Amino acid sequence: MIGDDAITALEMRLIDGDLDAETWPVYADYLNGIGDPRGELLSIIYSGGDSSERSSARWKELELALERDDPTTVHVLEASWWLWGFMFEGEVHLESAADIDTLARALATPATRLLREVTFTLGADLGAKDLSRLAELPFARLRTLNIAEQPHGDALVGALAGACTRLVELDARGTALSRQGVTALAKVASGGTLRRLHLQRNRISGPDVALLAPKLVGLELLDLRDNDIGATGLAALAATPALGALRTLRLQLDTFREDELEPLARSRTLPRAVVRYIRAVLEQRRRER
Amino acid sequence: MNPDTLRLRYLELHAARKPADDALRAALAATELPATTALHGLPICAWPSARFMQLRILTTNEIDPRVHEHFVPISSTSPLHLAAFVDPADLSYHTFENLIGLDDLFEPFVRTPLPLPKVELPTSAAAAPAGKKGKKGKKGKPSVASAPKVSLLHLHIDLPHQLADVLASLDGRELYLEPRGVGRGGRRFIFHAQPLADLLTAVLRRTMPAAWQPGFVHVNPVFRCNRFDVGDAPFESHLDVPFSWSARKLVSKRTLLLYLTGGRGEPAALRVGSLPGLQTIAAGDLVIFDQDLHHEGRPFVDGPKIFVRSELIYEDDALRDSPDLAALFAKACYLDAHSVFAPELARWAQRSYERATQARFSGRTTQARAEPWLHHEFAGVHYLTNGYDAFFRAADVSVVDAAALVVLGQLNPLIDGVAFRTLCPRTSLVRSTTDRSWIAPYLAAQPPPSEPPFTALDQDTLFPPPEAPSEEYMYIPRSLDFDRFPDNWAGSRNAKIIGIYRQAQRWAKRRIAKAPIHVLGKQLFVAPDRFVIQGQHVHLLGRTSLGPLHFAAATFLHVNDFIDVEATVDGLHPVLPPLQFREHEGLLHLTFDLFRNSWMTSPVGETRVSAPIPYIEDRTCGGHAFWHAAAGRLVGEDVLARELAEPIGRDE
Repeated sequence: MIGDDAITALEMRLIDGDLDAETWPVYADYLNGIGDPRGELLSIIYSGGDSSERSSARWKELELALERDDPTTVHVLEASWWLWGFMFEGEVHLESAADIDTLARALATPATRLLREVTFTLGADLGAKDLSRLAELPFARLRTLNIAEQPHGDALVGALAGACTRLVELDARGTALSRQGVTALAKVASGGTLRRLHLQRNRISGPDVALLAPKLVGLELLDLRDNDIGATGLAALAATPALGALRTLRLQLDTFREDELEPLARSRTLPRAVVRYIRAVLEQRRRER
Repeated sequence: MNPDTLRLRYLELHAARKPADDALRAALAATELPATTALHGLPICAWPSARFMQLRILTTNEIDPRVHEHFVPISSTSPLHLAAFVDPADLSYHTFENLIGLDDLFEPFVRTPLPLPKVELPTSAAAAPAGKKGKKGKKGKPSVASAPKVSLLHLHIDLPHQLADVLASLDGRELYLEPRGVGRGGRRFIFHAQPLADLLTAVLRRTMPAAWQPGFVHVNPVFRCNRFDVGDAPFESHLDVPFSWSARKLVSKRTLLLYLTGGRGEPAALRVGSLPGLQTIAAGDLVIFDQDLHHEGRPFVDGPKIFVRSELIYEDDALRDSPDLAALFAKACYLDAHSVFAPELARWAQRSYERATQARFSGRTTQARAEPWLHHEFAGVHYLTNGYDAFFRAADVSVVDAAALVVLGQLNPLIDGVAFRTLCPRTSLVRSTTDRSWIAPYLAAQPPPSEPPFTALDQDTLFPPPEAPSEEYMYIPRSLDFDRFPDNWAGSRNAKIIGIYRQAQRWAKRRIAKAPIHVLGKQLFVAPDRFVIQGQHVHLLGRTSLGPLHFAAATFLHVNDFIDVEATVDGLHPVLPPLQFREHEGLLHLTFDLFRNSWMTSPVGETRVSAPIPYIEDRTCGGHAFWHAAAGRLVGEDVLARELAEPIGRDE
């Protein structure tokens, strides 16, 4: 019998794209052990060449059954990518507090065990308070969370921060994110899994950046365009040793004064490629002046 | 001294062949001027200054019409040739020679064949082969079965009066520049005249000896007009560097001299190989001789000696690339380029050219016992090169970075207005040609670099994907003078602005995204994915203004006003032969023959393109369209409009 930790590790491998023929059969054994029909389906698919009429018929039968019994095919959670009875990527549409209950039920089904990417759309009637209940949902395996352009960014991030402990990418552009949301985001970032963070067009200030930046260890992409982060924010980015893995830093450099950009151009902690680009832009600007 | 006065004085002294006096030198040193424009990437200034001190002659149609008014003719007799000034440090291999286009001058004569020349002096095989001059008993033996080998022809053409007048007028145009290199007396200028080459080609086809006809293609349309005044230094014994284009099997085999004045030289006006010297030459004389012969020219004692030189180009199927020869020639070119600021290299360059020339005809490459090496340093990386081989300490650089340094050293691009070679301090050394055991300890004694010399320019930073357009209606205010942005305004989510932004991004990407080397500010960026390493080769992959609008005191917003410029990135798109490399004993050894495929008319080259990087400005006061103005200045508004209008594909 495989232990829970080993199963979680196996599921994370599948979630992270290790979908080759060696991984699935092991997972099929586990599913067969707990009586999940997906186990039988996977066993047929990875049976090593058994293409008999009987197994083909059973394959179809199982797929139809899974589709018929699938509780996630409700308007609240729609699959955008589905494989072997599992939803890998989905879209969440919440119009009311009741929808959160429906979502909770859907997420409790085996079909969502490998859910790795979710895009949220919130209805106008949903209040910020209602969103707090999202913190109780099983999003721990989620790698990508997209809440772009949704209202109540602070509440959404605040609720999901505790749930999404393995997040790699967060798209929170245009969500009116401010100090409250940034504080929650810093908590998510503390997990060390975040690699890409899209925060453009928010209400993030310089002190907010100073709060968040030291937590962004391992981050590769940071988009802060159209935030009023000012010299304080730039100085915080320039000084933190956490951003040593950064490859892409989007700031819209043209909107900053040369003296504001200077700390970035002299940073000893940001990667050389980032520093050299900013230095180059400053050099060009000075030459054109 | 104001710039106009300075220029006037400079040109007066130039015309009088007088060196700059103290007053002019002091005034030049005290004058700092920016470049007026650029030509093929070479910054040029309309006035001389501390930086732009070398005279260059340009034809009027070469200069950007917008700055044309700043330039003055080189002389009153050449109104179509303008004086410009360049910084010698900016010269690269493709801007080294000042080639002046004079095709139009000869165009009227192209349909009038030249009269057949009179053969005055057929000279046969007594010439010693190059390199054997003066050695007893080593004279060339004519083949027993064939006719005596003709090495020199001395002809005379009675040039039609009008053509003779035009040729004579070359001298009065004051296009001469002092020659580069050592041992070259007199003055000269290089010009292109296809009609003149065609006329000479036609007449030579009919009159040249049969032995010289097989494979003859044409006379090279690139001519050198030389003038020696009485008392000038002679043009010392030398070999002419042949034109060679191995890819097309073309090579020049004979030098052609057409004399525009006559006179007498002491002891000879022209001496070729060990043939009897030509003491007296008449205007209209045409002298043609094998290019493997050393020759020496002396001024006339009784007047100016003015002649044009070109060469006879042949198709030769036997022409092959020779690695040794290529190396020799590459070294000569590199040393020649560096001799502008290191005169001690000029003599070495000339010797290498001559060795290359000898090898081209004899089929054997001879090596000097010693050769010069240049020790360069860039961003803390020390390396040695002789123009063909380059050695790095393997621990200091990646193969890609080393290849980029070698290529940049050859192409010499401008980095923030400064020539790359100026950024690489240089020390010249002379070492044994055969023994390279000194290289490893020499490089080992240099300090290691603190970081790699280059980084890559992150394309995701330059070109972030456009935002998803808002589903809400979001109108663009017509003018902020009587309107305001709507409450739901987000410029980067407006569908119309996104459309323009995508076009601008696509335009900029096409220009620079595939460049192997990018230049921004003083920084150089290298794209490792554009340097492909296959076996022991490194291949570089290439790629084959609106002003403010005012009306009734209102500024109207246009969708283009929202697209601004974050930076302007230059992409270098070199078209180059691959570099070879190997790593041994802690050294990274690269070889690079920039001139392998051809020379002078080479398809090898470098294109530099700029692209302003667009971004969406959320709110604007309008009236500027910064990105479109910047891009329009680069390619012209008509071209920009046409290129932007191309439909955007699904993957763009």
